[in-house]
Amino acid sequence: MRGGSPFSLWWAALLTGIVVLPFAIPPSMATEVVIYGIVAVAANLLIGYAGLYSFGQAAFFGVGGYMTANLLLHLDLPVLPALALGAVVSGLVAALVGFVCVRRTGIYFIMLTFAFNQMIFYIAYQWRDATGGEDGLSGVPRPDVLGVDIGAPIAYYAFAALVFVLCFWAMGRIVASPFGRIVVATRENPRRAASVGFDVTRAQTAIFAMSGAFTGLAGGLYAMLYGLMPIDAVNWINSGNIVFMVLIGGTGNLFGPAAGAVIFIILQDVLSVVWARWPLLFGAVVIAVVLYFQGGFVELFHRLGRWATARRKARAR
Amino acid sequence: MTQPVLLTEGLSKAFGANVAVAEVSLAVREGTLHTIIGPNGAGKTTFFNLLTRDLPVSAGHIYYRGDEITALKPHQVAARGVGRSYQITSVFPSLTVLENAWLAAYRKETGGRLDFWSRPGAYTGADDKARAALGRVGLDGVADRPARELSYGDQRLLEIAVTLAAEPKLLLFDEPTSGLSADEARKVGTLVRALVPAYTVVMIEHNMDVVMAVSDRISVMQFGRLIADGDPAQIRDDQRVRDAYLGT
Repeated sequence: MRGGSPFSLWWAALLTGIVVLPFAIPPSMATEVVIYGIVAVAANLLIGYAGLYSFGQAAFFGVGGYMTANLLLHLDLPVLPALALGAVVSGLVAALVGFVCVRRTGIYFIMLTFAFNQMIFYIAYQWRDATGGEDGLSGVPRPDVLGVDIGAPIAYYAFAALVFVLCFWAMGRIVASPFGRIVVATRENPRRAASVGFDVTRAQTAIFAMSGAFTGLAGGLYAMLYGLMPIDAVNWINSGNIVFMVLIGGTGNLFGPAAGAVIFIILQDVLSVVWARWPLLFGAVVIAVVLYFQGGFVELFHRLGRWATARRKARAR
Repeated sequence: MTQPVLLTEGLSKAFGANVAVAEVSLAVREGTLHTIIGPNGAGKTTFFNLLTRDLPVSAGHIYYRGDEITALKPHQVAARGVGRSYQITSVFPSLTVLENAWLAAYRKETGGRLDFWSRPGAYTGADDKARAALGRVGLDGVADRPARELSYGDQRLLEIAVTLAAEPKLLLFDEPTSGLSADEARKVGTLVRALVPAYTVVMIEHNMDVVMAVSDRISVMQFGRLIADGDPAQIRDDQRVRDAYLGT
């Protein structure tokens, strides 16, 4: 783990946060936090680990969401297979999109992911039978999971939080695996990675697909949260928000983006009530992060820790 | 005569009207240390970039052990057993020294499998190979340090270790002594010499002390062309080479 602090400490903080969250904020908002937690951590597989700045993550969120919603609505599939299929289909779509996008680097890569996002948005907008078009796809049911009723907000939070923990653990394994190491190598020096004998395009496409699958899974959870899959979820603005979460939280490890999701969702909720122009404030926050805290929230945490230690030492003297 | 390990026929590269490599035909024999020298801008590194397919070939053919590899992709050339180091130090800075070498060894062990679930430690064979390669260049003591923390000289050595860890048959070294002190350069020269005849080595090098001391055969390039080819004594006495390069 490239965090600096002991791994187990991070995990303790994460699990504590998950237990405390639904008591600190309304359960439905807490659920949104864990759903976007999956999305942000999955986005950081690309941004932090692969160095691929995808501005099209909302597309995969949407594909998974609509897929799962339709399976629940029309085929009466149980929750788990519906979510799994949503993840698989969005993973496949991401594999296709990634396969094309990773052929270009830098700004061209970003523009390609953005263009695909727009394309999928307009497909969703037009394909009313499958997506409900502008009105969104409503009436998505929330059936029992293996006989357990998840109808109550707190019960659904518990289910979503469990999925989050499983996804987080799985992504932790991925970044610590040989494949994770190859992905970091392709980010740091693609030419060297190829001359060592790795197929850079293939590795990048694979991480893109994985990120898309986790994002799609989260989309399915989101469709079940309010019984509605809104068209806004597929909008490029949502892709921008996802990148915000990652940057605010910090790209150095997987915990940062999870914190970024908490900060983003809560701030969004608080600020949007106070001031209709709240995205302006977000812009300011992102500029501050990029200029002074490139390590994001995690970096701030480290700095505060160092500052406190230094003060304690100074006082002891 | 046995088949050459590496053979090029009329290999050329043009950037627009500028011909960087012009009809180079070169044969490298198994188990030898073959050095390419020439003034700056002679096309030596471009020639390497064609061999490893970092650049597309304009004309001509490349054969590796009799098989044409002119149209392969860089990672496919590497998978055939051609390893290369770069003139500009080219390591993975945030990974540790061991992880750098481990990646190359893992590729060799598994063919570059995208195993996204195991722990890297499960590949003990790759671990052993990586450590052996680090031992060979004397970096085993700093295995767990991030590569970016190494001195420049040690990064050059790591570059060689990464190349070795993939256990290639043919090694292409692009100025392994560039930027090193005279002492370090001699050390690297000895190290490279010790790789022969277990490996076949093609090396671009400017340090003439090293070149004359370690090479079995020397090819001289100027303006993209091969102007001479021979053993060190022949090259030392070749008038064209003296005019073009040695300046004496």
